[in-house]
Amino acid sequence: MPVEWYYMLERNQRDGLSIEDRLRLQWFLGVGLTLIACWALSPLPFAGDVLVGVLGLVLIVLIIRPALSYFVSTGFLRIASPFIVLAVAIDLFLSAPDFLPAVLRMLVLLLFLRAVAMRSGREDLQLLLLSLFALILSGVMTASLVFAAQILLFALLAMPLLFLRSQTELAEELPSLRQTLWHGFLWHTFIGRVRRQLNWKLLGFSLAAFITLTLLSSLIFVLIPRFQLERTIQFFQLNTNPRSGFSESISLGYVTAITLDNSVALRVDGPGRDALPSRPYWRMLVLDEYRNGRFSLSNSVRISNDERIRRPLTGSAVEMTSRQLNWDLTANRAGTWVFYLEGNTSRFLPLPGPFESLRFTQPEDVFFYPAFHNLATRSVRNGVFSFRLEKLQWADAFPVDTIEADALAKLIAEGPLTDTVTYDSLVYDSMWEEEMPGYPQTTLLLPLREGERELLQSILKENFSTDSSYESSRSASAFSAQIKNWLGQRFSYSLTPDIPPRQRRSDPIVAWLREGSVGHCELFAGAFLLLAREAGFPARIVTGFSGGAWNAVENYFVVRNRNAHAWVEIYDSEKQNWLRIDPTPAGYESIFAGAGVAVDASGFEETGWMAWMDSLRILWYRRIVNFDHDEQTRLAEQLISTLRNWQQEVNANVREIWQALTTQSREWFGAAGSLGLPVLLIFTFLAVLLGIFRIWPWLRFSFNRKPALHPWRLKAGKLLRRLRKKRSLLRAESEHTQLYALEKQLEAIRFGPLTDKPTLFNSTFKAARRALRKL
Amino acid sequence: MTSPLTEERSRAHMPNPSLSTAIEHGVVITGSASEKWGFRERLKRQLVPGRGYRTHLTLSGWMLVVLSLAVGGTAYNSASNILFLSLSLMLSALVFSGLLTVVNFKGLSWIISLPADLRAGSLAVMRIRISNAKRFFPSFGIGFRINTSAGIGKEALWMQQAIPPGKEELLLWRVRPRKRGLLEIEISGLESSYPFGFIRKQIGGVQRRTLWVWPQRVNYIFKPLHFGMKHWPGTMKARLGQGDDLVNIRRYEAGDPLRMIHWKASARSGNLMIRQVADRAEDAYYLQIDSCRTLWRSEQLFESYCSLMLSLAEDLFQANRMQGYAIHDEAPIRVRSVNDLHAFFDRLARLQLGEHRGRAERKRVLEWVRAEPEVNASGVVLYVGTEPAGRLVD
Repeated sequence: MPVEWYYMLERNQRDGLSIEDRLRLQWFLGVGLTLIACWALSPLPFAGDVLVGVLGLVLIVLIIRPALSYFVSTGFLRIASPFIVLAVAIDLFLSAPDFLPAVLRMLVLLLFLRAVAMRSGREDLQLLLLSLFALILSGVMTASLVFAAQILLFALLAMPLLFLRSQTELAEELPSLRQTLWHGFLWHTFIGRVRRQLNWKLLGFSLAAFITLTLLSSLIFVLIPRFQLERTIQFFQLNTNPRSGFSESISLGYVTAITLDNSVALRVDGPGRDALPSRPYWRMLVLDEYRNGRFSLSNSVRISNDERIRRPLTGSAVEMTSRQLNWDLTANRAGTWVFYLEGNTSRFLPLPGPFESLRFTQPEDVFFYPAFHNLATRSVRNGVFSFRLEKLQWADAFPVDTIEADALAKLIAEGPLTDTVTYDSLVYDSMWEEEMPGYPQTTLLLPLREGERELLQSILKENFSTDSSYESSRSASAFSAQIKNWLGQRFSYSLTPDIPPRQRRSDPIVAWLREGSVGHCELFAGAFLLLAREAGFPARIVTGFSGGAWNAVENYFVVRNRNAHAWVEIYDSEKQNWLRIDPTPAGYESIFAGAGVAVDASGFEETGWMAWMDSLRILWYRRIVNFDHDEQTRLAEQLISTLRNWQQEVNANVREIWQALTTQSREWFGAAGSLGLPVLLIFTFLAVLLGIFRIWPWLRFSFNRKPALHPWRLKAGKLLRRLRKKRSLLRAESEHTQLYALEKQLEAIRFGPLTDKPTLFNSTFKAARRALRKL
Repeated sequence: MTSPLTEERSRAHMPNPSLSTAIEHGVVITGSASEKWGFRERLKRQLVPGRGYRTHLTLSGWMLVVLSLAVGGTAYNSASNILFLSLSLMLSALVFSGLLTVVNFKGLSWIISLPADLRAGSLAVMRIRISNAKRFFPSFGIGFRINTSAGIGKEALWMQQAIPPGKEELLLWRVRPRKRGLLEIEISGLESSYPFGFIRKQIGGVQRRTLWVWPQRVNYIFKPLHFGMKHWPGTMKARLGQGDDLVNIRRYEAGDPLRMIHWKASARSGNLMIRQVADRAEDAYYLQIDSCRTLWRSEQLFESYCSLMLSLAEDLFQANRMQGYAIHDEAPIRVRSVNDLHAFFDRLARLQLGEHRGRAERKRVLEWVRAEPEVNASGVVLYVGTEPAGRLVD
């Protein structure tokens, strides 16, 4: 056997993992990628939770017993593959036209097929692509910060997988190796072999590579040109349900159910903490209709074609004008507010008051309800939804236009609508649309039986027996204050209300008013609504959030689901606006105090590591999710301005130093020698530079003792190159001969043994330089 | 070919002198990743890279590009920053891959030693010694592509292990030529798909070499009745050979037998010296080669003939009984050294069936060995003079 063969064999044994171990590592990395894909897909509502769970479990079992993958690929998959294909085809067919959930289920099955079996290099690539596809889909749909962690982890596993693949693909005996890959596999010996290959240098290189990739990626992300397209396509939207309390029809207790969840529902970036009112109300949805313990958006509003009631809008911005809203937009408002509404919350957006314009990150199809001052997207988003409000004014009263004012005045004059048929749900549901009371009649609709109305009247008499000022002046505020006071005295707040058991056709709120003692916000709001309507005041329920906390880490406002709330808007005929009334007794929030999140003494500011963790999300939303062309321009402008400032600073410093030097020079050399010192310094600087230039080769050689880097050799090499080039242009034989001898001397210095005779070398160099000058 | 400078560099970075001496055999091709190009040449290489300097997208590279286009298109159509983020990650992977490829190639130089002798049906080894002059970074996935004629086809040679910084590694190519004759070898290199296999980058251009494949060895019987005379009176006195009398001392050359080293002289001079001794007086032969079509009825028979003559010549030379050879009517050529013998083998490798060109009259016919096809059979018979002296054994 030739000596080289022994040499090769010895080298192969000495360093690097064996091909088998590389293939094993490659397989495990593929499984790791699939687990990340499972993690990414798990929060998506595509009815594939079981599939994802099964896949995850199988993968964990396979990690423990990888030898099973061989049996899976040779046995199970051969039988199961046709059935899986059939199942996918049927699923796609049945899901039409909403293909996305079926595509996601198909993706999980494909991941299953690829991940659990033995894979060739090409199949590893397919698995990588499928995992990436799953990750991107999930990221687009959720826009969550978790995506950042997942994609980084993905890159961390994908890089070594691709690297190993590019290496192992070169081996010739791969198919046979894969057949016997897991024979006699033991985890602890495998880990030992891998650990032996790990060293600080390798880890350092890997870390540096990862950091470089991340930085490069960030740079490209910032530099990629972005265009504002007029119309974008809504890819990857999964239909999902809103939280029960923020849908068009809610029953008693739906909003309270949300308060049991402590997760964040809304984050708001505003001009500052001072710009917020002491108790902000994040108004989302107005429900004008009440019937039998259920608040809803009346049909007349839901399907209305009247632009004053319901207006479909398309575009990346919603502009509000004073004419449209009948608001005084000249009022002092400032600042930009950016709202980040978490996924699966509601299709109605939280709008605390009037604003000049609302901008989305991309063009959207929305419905604007001018009479309610509500804005809703077409579907509930399963990822974070952000929008920007310009010149927002926090409002506790919402004015009406003249048509609505006239209709409401007429309605008030007629009194509450108490048609007996309206409280019978069966009859009501079978009514024609034209027969139903429309908005704003629905705000005075009182579908109660006589006995129930009598209770309401008795309560009103109890409250206003001596002072009937509200009846004479029609003052909504005076009425509201009295009723709110009465409710506060009569009932107390509790998340578990004591609503009496329902009798047939009895109204739960009236029953609570009659016999209850504790209740939640919906009962308070509902009771107020019924009493107001009985008294002849149009009223409507509003759901949304109330309160929240300030995150001082990144300076933004956090609204959690436990801040979900319901309140009432009563029509004030004097001021012609809908006045916000919150009948729930003050201080009810104390019931949630300390619910999982640390707050400061005032209870208004979130502190602790949870607040810090949450601030990462807002950074993600600000810097990544909401990064757009404007942000890009702003960054570019900031960079230019920083450079300009820096340039100006440098100029000023240079000028200052020059002035100081000339002044000093004048002191030393008199008026005539004002430039003496600067010139001296410049020459010194140049001399130092020249010195460094001259000694640099020697310095380099002292650090790196490679014979080829010896300065004499380098110098000889440089001269040699120049001489050879010149000699090739010569024609005379004599000159050739002379230069050839010189070249030989230089070659001897360049490649021959070095002696300590610099004078000899110098004379050769001088001769070469002289010869070059002559040519 | 690379510039002289690159050859010098590759020699300068060769750390293991004991291994490096072995490359003197066969044809040597050197190359270096740090080729010095002027601006025009560099620009030309960028625009029209030429063979051996190209960068190809691999399957995974194409997949990445297609995926980037799809994600990019979707990102622009949906204005989703998550997609832009994914796109930037994919593009950065591509850019980073390019950067690492440049680093991977930096400081690499290589020496290709083509096989010194190629025989039909015998295994030959081509050695490629790659050295990595980088200080910190190893080089991964280094390989060459070899395209050969004569039905051997294309082959890719890859280094499974990394080349550590400041070290060199050996890559072997084993080739078994099928038939005698011309073998054209085209070596494209250096090449690597490091780090992620998205791109396959080539540097160093394409090197083409033509080698002669000698006929394969065959079994034969050679028992001449008449013995040739090596020293004819008045023609030669002290022919170098394997006798006992010392004739000369010369410097060691690669391939010289170690037993002939004159250790005392080597110690005195500081260089390895070789003893040259006079030959013993023994029978020795000239080989007469004929490629006449009328003589050799078939290609197969002619190939057998060439193989027989090569085997005979080699064995006679080993036994120091080879005087020389003559092809057709050419003047006899003496075979004194291994190089002379190899020159004869090259002639045999090139030999083609041709028209009858006659045969010169040889004076001392008993020292000439010739071959003719066996009558009414497929064999080849050897003659010394007019007497049969041996034959090819199937």
